[in-house]
Amino acid sequence: MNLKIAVCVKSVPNPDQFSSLSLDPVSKTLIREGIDSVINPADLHAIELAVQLKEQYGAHISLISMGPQQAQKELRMGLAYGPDDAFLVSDREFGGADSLATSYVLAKALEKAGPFDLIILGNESADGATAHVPSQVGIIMGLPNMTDIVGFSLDENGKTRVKKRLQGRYAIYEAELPLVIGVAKDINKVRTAGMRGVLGAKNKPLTVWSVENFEDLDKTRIGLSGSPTQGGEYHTASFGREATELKGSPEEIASELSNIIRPILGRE
Amino acid sequence: MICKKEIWIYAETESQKIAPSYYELLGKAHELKESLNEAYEIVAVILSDSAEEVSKELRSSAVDRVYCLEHEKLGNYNPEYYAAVLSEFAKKHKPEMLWIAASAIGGELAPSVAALLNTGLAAHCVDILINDKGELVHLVPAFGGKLLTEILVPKTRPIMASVKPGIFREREIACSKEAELVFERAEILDSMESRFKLVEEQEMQSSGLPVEKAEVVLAGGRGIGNTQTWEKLKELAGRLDGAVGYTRSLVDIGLEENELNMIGSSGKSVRPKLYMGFGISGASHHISGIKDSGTIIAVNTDDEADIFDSSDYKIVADCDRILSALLEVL
Ligand SMILES: Cc1cc2nc3c(=O)[nH]c(=O)nc-3n(C[C@H](O)[C@H](O)[C@H](O)COP(=O)(O)OP(=O)(O)OC[C@H]3O[C@@H](n4cnc5c(N)ncnc54)[C@H](O)[C@@H]3O)c2cc1C
Repeated sequence: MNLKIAVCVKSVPNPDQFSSLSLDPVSKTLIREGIDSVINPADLHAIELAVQLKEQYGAHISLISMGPQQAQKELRMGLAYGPDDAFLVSDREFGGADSLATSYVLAKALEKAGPFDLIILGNESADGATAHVPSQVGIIMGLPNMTDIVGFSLDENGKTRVKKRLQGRYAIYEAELPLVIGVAKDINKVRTAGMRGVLGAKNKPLTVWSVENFEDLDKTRIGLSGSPTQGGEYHTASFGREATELKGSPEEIASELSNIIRPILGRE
Repeated sequence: MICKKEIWIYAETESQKIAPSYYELLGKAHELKESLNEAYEIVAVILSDSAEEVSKELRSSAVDRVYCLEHEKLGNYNPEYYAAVLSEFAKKHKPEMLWIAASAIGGELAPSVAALLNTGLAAHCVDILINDKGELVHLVPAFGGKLLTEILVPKTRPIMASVKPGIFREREIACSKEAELVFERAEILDSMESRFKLVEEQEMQSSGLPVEKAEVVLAGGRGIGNTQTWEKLKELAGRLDGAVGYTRSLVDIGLEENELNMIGSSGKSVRPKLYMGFGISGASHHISGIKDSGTIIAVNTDDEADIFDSSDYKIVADCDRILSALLEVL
């Protein structure tokens, strides 16, 4: 089997540094100084799945991303895990896109770089976290799609089994390729890229496409103006509480806690 | 006849019963309706192979109408069938708003329907309101709940919103009249064959009480460190008739297998009377899921851990020692 697999990846601000994000008190714009960008964590699991399938059956893996020019760095990093080439769709006109406008552009890029047998996305991005894009890419391309996938297998005939997480249970579906799936982090453990991978990634093809590279793009569906949702102001979420500190030996603390807890529970 | 604008609520069912999230959305719909200066109707929509039973429950739930879309192919959840039926029906009746709980099913159904209708969807709203300019505004979390941002859907209809179960509160709403029940066969499925075939369902392994329903939640994070300490926390939870929740890092270090009772922006939102967090740093991803709890108690060895900024009681100590001591007295 010679599979063609695409993995959609996104460059996001490092989630471990979200606590240092702040808002400009006057303009209400986001201050993200000093926060570096990384590959969206869930996307690493999508790459891992693709690489595992490549090891099993042989495959050509392409990374596809929409984002600023700087996202080339994350694509290079992604290539270090084993994919073969990468495509970055980057243009000011694509900026400010919501999930639907993003999905439209990704779908166009996937058509252009494809066709693919399997399109894998991380289930959600760390920054927006809508978990919309996998389904919406699938719908726009007219391909069967499913999200929150925690298990995936493929047999020699191209028949797949996908394990989807539902409330308190898993549902297992059979489906034929081509397919679009959004994978949850539970699906696998991501390997480390290793020095060889990083060095090898330098010479892999990375193509950047702008609006001009697409012939049949519907401009009413891209960027901020093509987005049905519009973002308003940011607000700081206030979770703040004033904590009372309990001090002493563990035994002293436990007995104090017991006095606090019992009335809450309605116990004597 | 002038048709009133409609707010549709997708009424998800769990084993032939209406899911609690429906009542949470309904409460918000009534609240919003009061602040709208136009008359709106609130409409419930069910997809089912047989809606007879559940429609009875909805009939007196303070909605104007219940649409029951039936087809034998709607018995089990299938993303293609569900999205096709709901979007077709919305195309025909043109509701002004369409709200869907962002449950395991709704979290997939909502974006699919939005893409089919080419409309805007505000994801995981924590509030839906009318601002001082008279616009419909959705407040949604961004950056793991660290920030909230406003989402508007100015041009396309329906304006779609998804809301995580447990975010809105159920409200007592007087039901003045019974809803009109409308049954319709989802004919579009007659000629449609899904490309997904359900072959098996598996129960998820879970340790006891679901966190989102518990009055007491004990949660552990990476600082729990080992199985013995984790067992102590579970034992204490048992004694307090509480449920056990955890952070993503606790899954990462292998103390739990799946994210079923993970609390936070990608997991469950909880609102217990008492929440106790052990060895949890307090990432906004986690805090956004506990912030509405009654009393929050946190135990962490790091005096500066972020979780203390969201706590009522702060204990700087080793969580294993505190758990052991608590097991002696509770
Ligand atoms: C898109 C996205 C979504 C996410 N969604 C979620 C979510 O829904 N829920 C969630 O929980 N996380 C989520 N996360 C992960 C989140 O960002 C944090 O990484 C996670 O919550 C941290 O878990 P933790 O507090 O257990 O671990 P850590 O941050 O590693 O903190 C461990 C804490 O334990 C303390 N400690 C260590 N030893 C001890 C000891 N012996 N006694 C007491 N304290 C000790 C340390 O001081 C530290 O504060 C998400 C991340 C991303 C990117």
